[in-house]
Amino acid sequence: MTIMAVLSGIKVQMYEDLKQVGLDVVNVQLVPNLENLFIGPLVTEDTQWMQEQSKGGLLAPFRADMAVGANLENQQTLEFLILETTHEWGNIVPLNISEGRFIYKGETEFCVLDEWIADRFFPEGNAVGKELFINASEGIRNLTVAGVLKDPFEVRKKFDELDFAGSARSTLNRMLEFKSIYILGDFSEPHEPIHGAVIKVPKDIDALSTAKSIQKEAKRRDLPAIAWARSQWVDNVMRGADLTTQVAGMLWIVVLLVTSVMILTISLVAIRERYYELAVRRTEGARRLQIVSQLLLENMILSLTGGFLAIGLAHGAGYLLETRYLSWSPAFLPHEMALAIGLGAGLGALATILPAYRAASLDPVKILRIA
Amino acid sequence: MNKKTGKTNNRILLHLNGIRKTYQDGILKVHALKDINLEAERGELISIMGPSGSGKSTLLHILGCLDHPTQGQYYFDGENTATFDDRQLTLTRNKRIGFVFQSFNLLHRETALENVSLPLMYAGESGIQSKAQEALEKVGLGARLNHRPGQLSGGEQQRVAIARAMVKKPDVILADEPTGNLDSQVGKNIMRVFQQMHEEGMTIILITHNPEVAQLGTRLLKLHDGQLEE
Ligand SMILES: Nc1ncnc2c1ncn2[C@@H]1O[C@H](COP(=O)(O)OP(=O)(O)OP(=O)(O)O)[C@@H](O)[C@H]1O
Ligand SMILES: [Mg+2]
Repeated sequence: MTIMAVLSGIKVQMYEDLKQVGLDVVNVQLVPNLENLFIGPLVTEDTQWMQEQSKGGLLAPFRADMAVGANLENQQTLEFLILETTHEWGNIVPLNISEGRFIYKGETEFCVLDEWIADRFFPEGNAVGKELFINASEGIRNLTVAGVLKDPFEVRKKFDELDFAGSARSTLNRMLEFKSIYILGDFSEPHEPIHGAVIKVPKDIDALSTAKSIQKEAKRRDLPAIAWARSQWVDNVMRGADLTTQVAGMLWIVVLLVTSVMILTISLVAIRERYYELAVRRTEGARRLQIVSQLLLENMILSLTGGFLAIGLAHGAGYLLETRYLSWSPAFLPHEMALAIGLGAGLGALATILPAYRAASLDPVKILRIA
Repeated sequence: MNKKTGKTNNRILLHLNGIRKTYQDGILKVHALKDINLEAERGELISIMGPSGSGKSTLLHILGCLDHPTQGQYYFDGENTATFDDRQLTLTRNKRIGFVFQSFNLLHRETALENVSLPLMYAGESGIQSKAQEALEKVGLGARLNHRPGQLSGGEQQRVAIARAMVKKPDVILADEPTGNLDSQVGKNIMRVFQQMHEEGMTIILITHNPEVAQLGTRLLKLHDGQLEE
């Protein structure tokens, strides 16, 4: 039961985590290969048809580049991904801000760091307002920190292995796992290359179908881009998790089978030990059915007590696991607990009824002669 | 037949007609009973004597509806027991026959009172506790109600078994050597209990090795090698 609760707990917790990636967000990204990254077949102009396909959703294009940065105060230098986007990014993707805010419109001299970079550049904390220098393709720039974000990919990294259905997407995500700095980019030139865009679809519009129509349009225009809804990714991960729990469920069945064979043997022996008592009861006026129902009732009381005790123990074990090893709380779902107790009692009853019937059918005189 | 009690006024309570019992012991056939004919009237106290292995217990088990004869008919109160199903057999055993086993057959984990209550419980009667207590007092165990068999002497266990047989006020009591393993003083006490029951009009069939005990009966039968003689 603890196992069951722990597995259910993972799923409950997972869905909570996963929701944070933004269920109404569609990502459009170039298919990751070297050619695409250098020549850049996706351009600023393309965001127009993307927006049309999304029926007026909020859109932020992005461009990624490698850069080197330095904090002159402590002589710290780092290599990271620089993500050029617009201020809308902060309105589209759910942000997990730990300090400050996202960049406002027109703040071209500001940047937002992820926590990992902030920790290294400004180990004493309070990164907001500090300055740093970056050397990107356009040359050296001086930027002021507007805010610090918790790693937005943290959740995804945790669960990406479960996204069986979208391995291309997973590869993309892994490429973007570089530690990054967000700055505002210039997307006014229609032929400026971009690497993709994030789109928040309007309320009442399905993110998944939007992603599909963008994908279709990209294909029609012969652009090597993929579009995917984050909700779709969440679904895939949940499905993957289901598969995993189902495998664990199979294990459960095997355990159950083994246990039931054990229970059968034990109850056979236990009832055999009571042949004398049962024979005396038979001679004193107990009918066969009364013997069987007596044994069954005793067994039921035992299994149910055992079942509730097991729930108690499982809660204890779950609590221990939670405090020592797990990052999520085991979820004791009532229907799963009922199933476990029901199965236990059912198996117990099945394992009792046969030996009980046998015991009730034996000739009491023969048993008493031997005893 | 009296519908309320299920009892009739047949003069003959037990009637055995040409009863045989053969046990198959491996390839060997043991003829435990050979052509037994017996009629027992209501109120009789019949003693049965016979050497060990002569078939006394076998005969009593058949009379007690605990075992089926291989051949012949057994009429209990005019009804052929061969036609009884499990329910009827159990009911007859439970309400109409009190059986005192040679080896007592008490439940070791239950007290004297609980042991005596057992047949009443299965009969679904009311006032079980007081009836059981009364029966135990009758056999002189009023002070041993909550003792388990292990805490009682052989004679006391025997008396618990007798109390269990009489508590349901059966039509007949079948006792398999109730004084068998007891010294003469205890044996006499127990015989007094049977004597009293007989005086109250109970039908009793008693197996014994002891000629003195056998003399108490209204009729004495001898079983020899599976055959009955007066
Ligand atoms: N279930 C059985 N299977 C095989 N043989 C049996 C069985 N029950 C009894 N017998 C045999 O039947 C014969 C009569 O047995 P029974 O128990 O009736 O004797 P008994 O007269 O009561 O003897 P005792 O005085 O020693 O109690 C014996 O030879 C016994 O071995
Ligand atoms: Mg005997």
